Amino acid sequence: MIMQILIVLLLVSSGFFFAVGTLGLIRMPDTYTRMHASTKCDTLGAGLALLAIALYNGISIISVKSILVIVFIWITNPTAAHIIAKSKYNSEKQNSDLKSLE
Amino acid sequence: MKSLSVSHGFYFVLLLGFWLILSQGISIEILFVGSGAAVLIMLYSRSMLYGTEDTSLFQPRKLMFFFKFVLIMLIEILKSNIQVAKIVLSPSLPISPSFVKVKKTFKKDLHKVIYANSVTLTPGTLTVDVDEEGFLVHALTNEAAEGLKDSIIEKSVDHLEVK
Amino acid sequence: MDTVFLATTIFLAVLTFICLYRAYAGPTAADRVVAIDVISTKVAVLIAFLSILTGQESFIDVALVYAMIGFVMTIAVSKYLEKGKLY
Repeated sequence: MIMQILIVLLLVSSGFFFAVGTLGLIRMPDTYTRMHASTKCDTLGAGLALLAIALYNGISIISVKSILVIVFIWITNPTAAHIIAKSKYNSEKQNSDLKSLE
Repeated sequence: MKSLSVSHGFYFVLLLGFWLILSQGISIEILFVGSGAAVLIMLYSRSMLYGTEDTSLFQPRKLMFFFKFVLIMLIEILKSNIQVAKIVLSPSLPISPSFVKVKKTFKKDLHKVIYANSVTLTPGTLTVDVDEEGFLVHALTNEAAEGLKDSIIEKSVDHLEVK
Repeated sequence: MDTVFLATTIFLAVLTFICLYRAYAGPTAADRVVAIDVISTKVAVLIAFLSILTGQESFIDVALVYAMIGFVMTIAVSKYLEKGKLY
Protein backbone atom coordinates (compact mmCIF):
# COMPACT_ATOMS: atom_id res chain seq x y z
CA MET A 1 0.00 0.00 0.00
CA ILE A 2 2.76 2.45 0.99
CA MET A 3 4.65 1.34 -2.12
CA GLN A 4 1.67 2.19 -4.34
CA ILE A 5 1.32 5.66 -2.81
CA LEU A 6 5.05 6.19 -3.35
CA ILE A 7 4.80 5.12 -7.00
CA VAL A 8 1.84 7.44 -7.66
CA LEU A 9 3.71 10.29 -5.95
CA LEU A 10 6.80 9.65 -8.11
CA LEU A 11 4.72 9.56 -11.31
CA VAL A 12 2.87 12.78 -10.47
CA SER A 13 6.06 14.68 -9.61
CA SER A 14 7.80 13.41 -12.75
CA GLY A 15 4.83 14.63 -14.79
CA PHE A 16 5.06 18.00 -13.04
CA PHE A 17 8.77 18.41 -13.80
CA PHE A 18 8.31 17.31 -17.43
CA ALA A 19 5.52 19.91 -17.77
CA VAL A 20 7.73 22.63 -16.26
CA GLY A 21 10.56 21.72 -18.66
CA THR A 22 8.25 21.89 -21.65
CA LEU A 23 6.75 25.18 -20.50
CA GLY A 24 10.26 26.60 -20.07
CA LEU A 25 11.19 25.42 -23.56
CA ILE A 26 8.20 27.32 -24.96
CA ARG A 27 8.31 30.45 -22.78
CA MET A 28 11.99 31.36 -22.35
CA PRO A 29 13.37 34.16 -24.55
CA ASP A 30 16.66 32.76 -25.98
CA THR A 31 18.48 29.48 -26.58
CA TYR A 32 20.64 29.36 -23.44
CA THR A 33 17.77 30.04 -21.04
CA ARG A 34 15.64 27.46 -22.87
CA MET A 35 18.46 24.98 -22.30
CA HIS A 36 18.45 25.78 -18.55
CA ALA A 37 14.81 24.82 -18.23
CA SER A 38 14.78 21.79 -20.50
CA THR A 39 18.01 20.10 -19.32
CA LYS A 40 17.43 20.22 -15.58
CA CYS A 41 13.74 19.43 -15.52
CA ASP A 42 13.95 16.66 -18.12
CA THR A 43 16.83 14.98 -16.30
CA LEU A 44 14.98 14.87 -12.98
CA GLY A 45 11.65 13.97 -14.61
CA ALA A 46 13.13 11.01 -16.49
CA GLY A 47 14.90 9.85 -13.33
CA LEU A 48 11.68 9.93 -11.26
CA ALA A 49 9.59 8.20 -13.93
CA LEU A 50 12.09 5.36 -14.43
CA LEU A 51 12.47 5.00 -10.64
CA ALA A 52 8.70 4.51 -10.47
CA ILE A 53 8.96 1.76 -13.11
CA ALA A 54 11.78 0.09 -11.15
CA LEU A 55 9.75 0.19 -7.91
CA TYR A 56 6.64 -1.15 -9.69
CA ASN A 57 8.49 -4.22 -10.97
CA GLY A 58 10.22 -5.03 -7.68
CA ILE A 59 13.45 -7.00 -7.83
CA SER A 60 13.72 -8.18 -11.44
CA ILE A 61 15.78 -7.71 -14.59
CA ILE A 62 13.50 -4.84 -15.73
CA SER A 63 14.37 -2.86 -12.60
CA VAL A 64 18.09 -3.32 -13.24
CA LYS A 65 17.66 -2.20 -16.84
CA SER A 66 15.62 0.87 -15.93
CA ILE A 67 18.21 1.87 -13.31
CA LEU A 68 20.77 1.51 -16.12
CA VAL A 69 18.70 3.86 -18.30
CA ILE A 70 18.59 6.39 -15.40
CA VAL A 71 22.39 6.33 -14.98
CA PHE A 72 22.85 6.70 -18.74
CA ILE A 73 20.43 9.64 -19.05
CA TRP A 74 21.93 11.41 -16.03
CA ILE A 75 25.43 11.21 -17.50
CA THR A 76 24.57 12.06 -21.10
CA ASN A 77 21.95 14.82 -20.71
CA PRO A 78 24.31 17.51 -19.27
CA THR A 79 26.94 16.51 -21.83
CA ALA A 80 24.48 16.95 -24.70
CA ALA A 81 23.40 20.36 -23.34
CA HIS A 82 27.04 21.44 -23.01
CA ILE A 83 27.85 20.44 -26.58
CA ILE A 84 24.79 22.27 -28.02
CA ALA A 85 25.67 25.42 -26.03
CA LYS A 86 29.30 25.21 -27.19
CA SER A 87 28.37 24.87 -30.86
CA LYS A 88 25.94 27.80 -30.59
CA TYR A 89 28.52 29.98 -28.78
CA ASN A 90 31.36 29.21 -31.20
CA SER A 91 29.29 29.72 -34.36
CA GLU A 92 28.02 33.06 -33.02
CA LYS A 93 31.58 34.11 -32.21
CA GLN A 94 32.70 33.27 -35.76
CA ASN A 95 29.82 35.28 -37.21
CA SER A 96 30.64 38.36 -35.09
CA ASP A 97 34.32 38.06 -36.08
CA LEU A 98 33.31 38.08 -39.73
CA LYS A 99 31.13 41.15 -39.18
CA SER A 100 33.92 43.08 -37.45
CA LEU A 101 36.25 42.31 -40.37
CA GLU A 102 33.90 43.79 -42.93
CA MET B 1 50.51 -3.33 -25.09
CA LYS B 2 50.80 -2.36 -21.46
CA SER B 3 50.71 -4.95 -18.74
CA LEU B 4 47.44 -5.88 -17.13
CA SER B 5 46.35 -3.68 -14.23
CA VAL B 6 43.39 -3.24 -11.92
CA SER B 7 41.65 -0.83 -14.28
CA HIS B 8 41.83 -3.36 -17.14
CA GLY B 9 40.00 -5.86 -14.96
CA PHE B 10 37.49 -3.21 -13.91
CA TYR B 11 36.63 -2.35 -17.53
CA PHE B 12 36.38 -6.05 -18.41
CA VAL B 13 33.96 -6.75 -15.54
CA LEU B 14 31.94 -3.62 -16.45
CA LEU B 15 31.56 -4.60 -20.13
CA LEU B 16 30.81 -8.26 -19.34
CA GLY B 17 28.22 -7.23 -16.73
CA PHE B 18 26.51 -4.95 -19.27
CA TRP B 19 26.46 -7.84 -21.77
CA LEU B 20 24.96 -10.22 -19.19
CA ILE B 21 22.25 -7.71 -18.21
CA LEU B 22 21.20 -7.34 -21.85
CA SER B 23 21.28 -11.08 -22.70
CA GLN B 24 18.61 -13.59 -21.77
CA GLY B 25 19.94 -15.95 -19.09
CA ILE B 26 23.44 -17.32 -18.67
CA SER B 27 25.03 -20.14 -20.65
CA ILE B 28 28.52 -21.14 -21.76
CA GLU B 29 28.13 -19.66 -25.25
CA ILE B 30 26.83 -16.33 -23.95
CA LEU B 31 29.73 -16.02 -21.50
CA PHE B 32 32.22 -16.98 -24.24
CA VAL B 33 30.91 -14.50 -26.83
CA GLY B 34 30.59 -11.78 -24.17
CA SER B 35 34.21 -12.13 -23.01
CA GLY B 36 35.39 -12.07 -26.63
CA ALA B 37 33.37 -8.92 -27.34
CA ALA B 38 34.63 -7.23 -24.14
CA VAL B 39 38.26 -7.92 -25.03
CA LEU B 40 37.73 -6.70 -28.60
CA ILE B 41 36.09 -3.47 -27.40
CA MET B 42 38.94 -2.87 -24.95
CA LEU B 43 41.51 -3.40 -27.71
CA TYR B 44 39.67 -1.14 -30.15
CA SER B 45 39.08 1.80 -27.78
CA ARG B 46 42.37 1.44 -25.85
CA SER B 47 43.45 5.05 -26.39
CA MET B 48 40.15 6.33 -24.99
CA LEU B 49 39.93 4.09 -21.94
CA TYR B 50 43.42 4.26 -20.42
CA GLY B 51 45.42 7.05 -21.97
CA THR B 52 48.32 8.83 -20.29
CA GLU B 53 46.45 9.51 -17.05
CA ASP B 54 46.01 6.88 -14.41
CA THR B 55 42.42 6.16 -13.48
CA SER B 56 42.38 6.83 -9.77
CA LEU B 57 38.65 6.33 -9.26
CA PHE B 58 39.09 2.60 -8.80
CA GLN B 59 40.55 2.66 -5.30
CA PRO B 60 38.03 1.83 -2.55
CA ARG B 61 38.66 5.04 -0.59
CA LYS B 62 38.06 7.15 -3.71
CA LEU B 63 34.83 5.31 -4.33
CA MET B 64 33.64 6.28 -0.83
CA PHE B 65 34.30 9.97 -1.60
CA PHE B 66 32.59 9.51 -4.95
CA PHE B 67 29.40 8.15 -3.38
CA LYS B 68 29.36 11.07 -0.91
CA PHE B 69 29.71 13.41 -3.90
CA VAL B 70 26.78 11.71 -5.67
CA LEU B 71 24.61 12.24 -2.57
CA ILE B 72 25.49 15.97 -2.46
CA MET B 73 24.69 16.17 -6.18
CA LEU B 74 21.24 14.60 -5.74
CA ILE B 75 20.27 17.26 -3.17
CA GLU B 76 21.63 20.03 -5.43
CA ILE B 77 19.66 18.69 -8.42
CA LEU B 78 16.42 18.71 -6.41
CA LYS B 79 17.09 22.31 -5.30
CA SER B 80 17.88 23.45 -8.84
CA ASN B 81 14.72 21.90 -10.24
CA ILE B 82 12.51 23.59 -7.66
CA GLN B 83 14.23 26.93 -8.43
CA VAL B 84 13.74 26.53 -12.20
CA ALA B 85 10.10 25.55 -11.63
CA LYS B 86 9.56 28.72 -9.57
CA ILE B 87 11.13 30.89 -12.30
CA VAL B 88 9.21 29.28 -15.17
CA LEU B 89 5.85 29.32 -13.39
CA SER B 90 6.06 32.95 -12.25
CA PRO B 91 4.23 35.24 -14.72
CA SER B 92 6.98 37.88 -15.08
CA LEU B 93 9.99 35.54 -15.82
CA PRO B 94 12.54 37.03 -13.32
CA ILE B 95 15.75 36.25 -15.23
CA SER B 96 18.92 38.22 -15.96
CA PRO B 97 21.14 35.97 -18.11
CA SER B 98 24.88 36.60 -18.32
CA PHE B 99 28.17 34.84 -19.12
CA VAL B 100 30.65 34.25 -16.29
CA LYS B 101 34.28 33.13 -16.59
CA VAL B 102 35.31 30.78 -13.78
CA LYS B 103 39.10 30.78 -13.32
CA LYS B 104 39.44 27.28 -11.96
CA THR B 105 41.17 24.33 -13.52
CA PHE B 106 41.84 20.72 -12.61
CA LYS B 107 44.78 18.52 -13.54
CA LYS B 108 42.91 15.53 -14.86
CA ASP B 109 40.35 15.50 -17.65
CA LEU B 110 38.08 13.24 -15.60
CA HIS B 111 37.70 15.88 -12.88
CA LYS B 112 37.07 18.58 -15.49
CA VAL B 113 34.23 16.46 -16.89
CA ILE B 114 32.77 15.82 -13.44
CA TYR B 115 32.94 19.52 -12.53
CA ALA B 116 31.40 20.71 -15.82
CA ASN B 117 28.53 18.24 -15.69
CA SER B 118 27.85 19.06 -12.03
CA VAL B 119 27.77 22.79 -12.76
CA THR B 120 25.24 22.14 -15.51
CA LEU B 121 22.97 20.28 -13.09
CA THR B 122 23.22 22.78 -10.19
CA PRO B 123 20.90 25.80 -9.78
CA GLY B 124 20.86 28.37 -12.54
CA THR B 125 24.16 27.58 -14.27
CA LEU B 126 25.14 25.92 -17.56
CA THR B 127 28.68 25.13 -18.72
CA VAL B 128 29.32 26.45 -22.24
CA ASP B 129 33.03 25.99 -22.95
CA VAL B 130 36.21 24.61 -21.38
CA ASP B 131 39.76 25.78 -22.12
CA GLU B 132 43.15 25.95 -20.37
CA GLU B 133 42.26 28.94 -18.20
CA GLY B 134 38.90 27.83 -16.87
CA PHE B 135 35.25 27.30 -17.59
CA LEU B 136 32.83 29.58 -19.40
CA VAL B 137 29.50 29.39 -17.58
CA HIS B 138 26.10 30.84 -18.51
CA ALA B 139 24.15 32.00 -15.46
CA LEU B 140 20.38 32.38 -15.37
CA THR B 141 20.18 34.90 -12.50
CA ASN B 142 22.59 37.23 -10.71
CA GLU B 143 22.48 35.17 -7.50
CA ALA B 144 23.51 32.07 -9.43
CA ALA B 145 26.47 33.92 -10.95
CA GLU B 146 27.63 35.09 -7.50
CA GLY B 147 27.04 31.71 -5.89
CA LEU B 148 29.42 30.07 -8.37
CA LYS B 149 32.54 31.10 -6.40
CA ASP B 150 33.59 28.70 -3.62
CA SER B 151 30.52 26.60 -4.20
CA ILE B 152 30.00 23.24 -2.49
CA ILE B 153 30.54 21.45 -5.82
CA GLU B 154 33.96 23.05 -6.29
CA LYS B 155 35.04 21.99 -2.80
CA SER B 156 33.80 18.45 -3.34
CA VAL B 157 35.63 18.03 -6.65
CA ASP B 158 38.78 19.47 -5.01
CA HIS B 159 38.34 16.89 -2.27
CA LEU B 160 37.96 14.16 -4.88
CA GLU B 161 41.17 15.27 -6.57
CA VAL B 162 43.47 15.75 -3.58
CA LYS B 163 42.68 12.78 -1.38
CA MET C 1 -2.32 1.25 -10.79
CA ASP C 2 -2.44 0.71 -14.54
CA THR C 3 -4.69 3.75 -14.97
CA VAL C 4 -2.08 5.99 -13.33
CA PHE C 5 0.58 4.68 -15.70
CA LEU C 6 -1.78 5.16 -18.65
CA ALA C 7 -2.58 8.74 -17.60
CA THR C 8 1.12 9.60 -17.23
CA THR C 9 1.85 8.07 -20.65
CA ILE C 10 -0.87 10.12 -22.35
CA PHE C 11 0.29 13.27 -20.54
CA LEU C 12 3.88 12.67 -21.70
CA ALA C 13 2.76 12.10 -25.29
CA VAL C 14 0.88 15.41 -25.27
CA LEU C 15 3.95 17.18 -23.84
CA THR C 16 6.10 15.66 -26.60
CA PHE C 17 3.83 17.18 -29.23
CA ILE C 18 4.02 20.56 -27.47
CA CYS C 19 7.84 20.34 -27.68
CA LEU C 20 7.47 19.85 -31.41
CA TYR C 21 6.28 23.47 -31.61
CA ARG C 22 9.75 24.70 -30.63
CA ALA C 23 11.33 22.46 -33.28
CA TYR C 24 8.99 23.99 -35.84
CA ALA C 25 9.17 27.65 -34.78
CA GLY C 26 12.67 27.97 -33.23
CA PRO C 27 14.45 30.95 -34.76
CA THR C 28 17.92 29.32 -34.92
CA ALA C 29 19.13 25.80 -35.64
CA ALA C 30 20.37 25.39 -32.05
CA ASP C 31 16.80 25.83 -30.76
CA ARG C 32 15.67 23.00 -32.98
CA VAL C 33 18.48 20.75 -31.74
CA VAL C 34 17.47 21.48 -28.12
CA ALA C 35 13.86 20.59 -28.94
CA ILE C 36 14.86 17.32 -30.64
CA ASP C 37 17.11 16.42 -27.69
CA VAL C 38 14.22 16.95 -25.25
CA ILE C 39 11.88 14.92 -27.46
CA SER C 40 14.31 12.00 -27.65
CA THR C 41 14.60 11.88 -23.83
CA LYS C 42 10.82 11.95 -23.50
CA VAL C 43 10.35 9.21 -26.10
CA ALA C 44 12.85 6.97 -24.29
CA VAL C 45 10.80 7.33 -21.10
CA LEU C 46 7.59 6.76 -23.11
CA ILE C 47 8.92 3.47 -24.48
CA ALA C 48 9.79 2.37 -20.93
CA PHE C 49 6.17 3.14 -19.92
CA LEU C 50 4.90 1.16 -22.91
CA SER C 51 6.79 -1.91 -21.68
CA ILE C 52 4.73 -1.71 -18.45
CA LEU C 53 1.43 -1.11 -20.26
CA THR C 54 1.79 -3.89 -22.85
CA GLY C 55 3.69 -6.33 -20.64
CA GLN C 56 6.48 -6.74 -23.20
CA GLU C 57 9.72 -6.98 -21.23
CA SER C 58 11.95 -6.43 -24.26
CA PHE C 59 10.69 -2.86 -24.78
CA ILE C 60 12.96 -1.66 -21.97
CA ASP C 61 15.97 -2.68 -24.13
CA VAL C 62 14.52 -0.54 -26.89
CA ALA C 63 14.35 2.40 -24.44
CA LEU C 64 18.03 1.94 -23.53
CA VAL C 65 19.11 1.81 -27.18
CA TYR C 66 16.88 4.80 -28.03
CA ALA C 67 18.49 6.92 -25.29
CA MET C 68 21.93 6.03 -26.68
CA ILE C 69 20.98 6.83 -30.28
CA GLY C 70 19.42 10.15 -29.21
CA PHE C 71 22.67 11.16 -27.48
CA VAL C 72 24.81 10.28 -30.51
CA MET C 73 22.38 12.14 -32.78
CA THR C 74 22.58 15.30 -30.66
CA ILE C 75 26.38 15.26 -30.66
CA ALA C 76 26.55 14.64 -34.41
CA VAL C 77 24.17 17.48 -35.31
CA SER C 78 25.89 19.91 -32.90
CA LYS C 79 29.33 19.11 -34.34
CA TYR C 80 27.96 19.60 -37.83
CA LEU C 81 26.52 23.00 -36.83
CA GLU C 82 29.82 24.08 -35.28
CA LYS C 83 32.36 22.92 -37.87
CA GLY C 84 30.36 22.23 -41.03
CA LYS C 85 31.64 18.64 -41.07
CA LEU C 86 31.42 15.64 -38.78
CA TYR C 87 35.08 14.76 -38.08
